[in-house]
Amino acid sequence: MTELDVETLRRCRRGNPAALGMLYDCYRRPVYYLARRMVGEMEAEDVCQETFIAVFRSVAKFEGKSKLSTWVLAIATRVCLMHLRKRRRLNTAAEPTDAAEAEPMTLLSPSHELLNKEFLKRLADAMDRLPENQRMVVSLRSFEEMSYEEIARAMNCRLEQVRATLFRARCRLLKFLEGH
Amino acid sequence: MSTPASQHYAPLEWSAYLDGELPAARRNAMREHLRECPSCAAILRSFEAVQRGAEQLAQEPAPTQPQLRTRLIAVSAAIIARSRSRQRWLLWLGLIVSVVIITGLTAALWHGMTQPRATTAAVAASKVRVTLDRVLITRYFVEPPSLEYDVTIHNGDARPLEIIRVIVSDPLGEKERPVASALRVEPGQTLQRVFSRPVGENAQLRPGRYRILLETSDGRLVDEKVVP
Ligand SMILES: [Zn+2]
Repeated sequence: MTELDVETLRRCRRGNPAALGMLYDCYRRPVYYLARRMVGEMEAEDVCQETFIAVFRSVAKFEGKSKLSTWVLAIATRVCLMHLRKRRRLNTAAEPTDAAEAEPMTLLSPSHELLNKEFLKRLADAMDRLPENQRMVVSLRSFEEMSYEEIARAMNCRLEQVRATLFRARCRLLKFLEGH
Repeated sequence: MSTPASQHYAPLEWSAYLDGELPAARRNAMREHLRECPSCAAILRSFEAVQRGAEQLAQEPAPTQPQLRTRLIAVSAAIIARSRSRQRWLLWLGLIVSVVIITGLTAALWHGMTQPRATTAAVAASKVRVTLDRVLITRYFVEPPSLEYDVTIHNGDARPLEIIRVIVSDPLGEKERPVASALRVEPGQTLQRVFSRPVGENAQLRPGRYRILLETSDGRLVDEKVVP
């Protein structure tokens, strides 16, 4: 993900439409991707719009303590969680639990043609079956700029939790991919 | 060559290794180990395939929405430019409302289809009543877990039901505790609400009596549920 340059950011703070457009274009893809994974295609656009409203509203307050991309993704994370929370109020279906698993881990068989379309499709399906917090961590970790620390900040949790949740998510994805 | 199991690194560590989230010394030792240990190498390879796949998925382009983009940017730019104006928040509210109306229409329809319909036929027996449908502990990732009461309030009376306070009690050690106030249910209306209170990190739903009490202008309405 490319970062917005300082000058453009300065113009965003003053409300320059071209600069705001650049900010939007710069981060729409990752924000949309996160939303798509977390709330599904139907609501992804809503989450995206709400995220950018929040980003534009507070860009003047962005202090540059983190990377802009991290800050935008942290806002997107909150908006996703708000949507999930609202949905949970309406839905009685049980959410898969995020219990620690002590089973032996599944390895990927060498027959997998890695990164081909079929593999990616199965991976995407497997991700959609993860519990919320595992899905969130895996999705955030798909962006190269998100370190454990940055993911922890975005999700408002401890770094150790990110490490453990990501590990559990990967084990479960492998299990799904191998068809268990 | 096989390595004794005790000398292997835990899968959790290989996951962190892949992410570059280990101290340099640990990392170097693990890199050395990889050269002579096919089983650890296989674990790392599996995690790596999943990670590279996830990165690849995140490269998918988002669908474009030129009209939404134009509107969002134009209005936001105007608001920021006028940011010292007193009505700033009103403008933001207007923007949020308009965007939510435009993009939320599909979601609203969807919610409308999936939300359970209020039951109107079965409630004729008592005019005004509260039903505690269920209690559960919900864990949100960013907030403390909460004990939630799913409640249906029905007002079959001809006048509005004025609820002064909503009080819950439960066997988790907490005595009666107000969770909401000043609610109004219109004549003929059936309201579905969730009342909740935060509980400790490790709280579990304990067996016992869970009670909801509505203090109304005409007296009290109570319902309870016993968790076996
Ligand atoms: Zn080993």
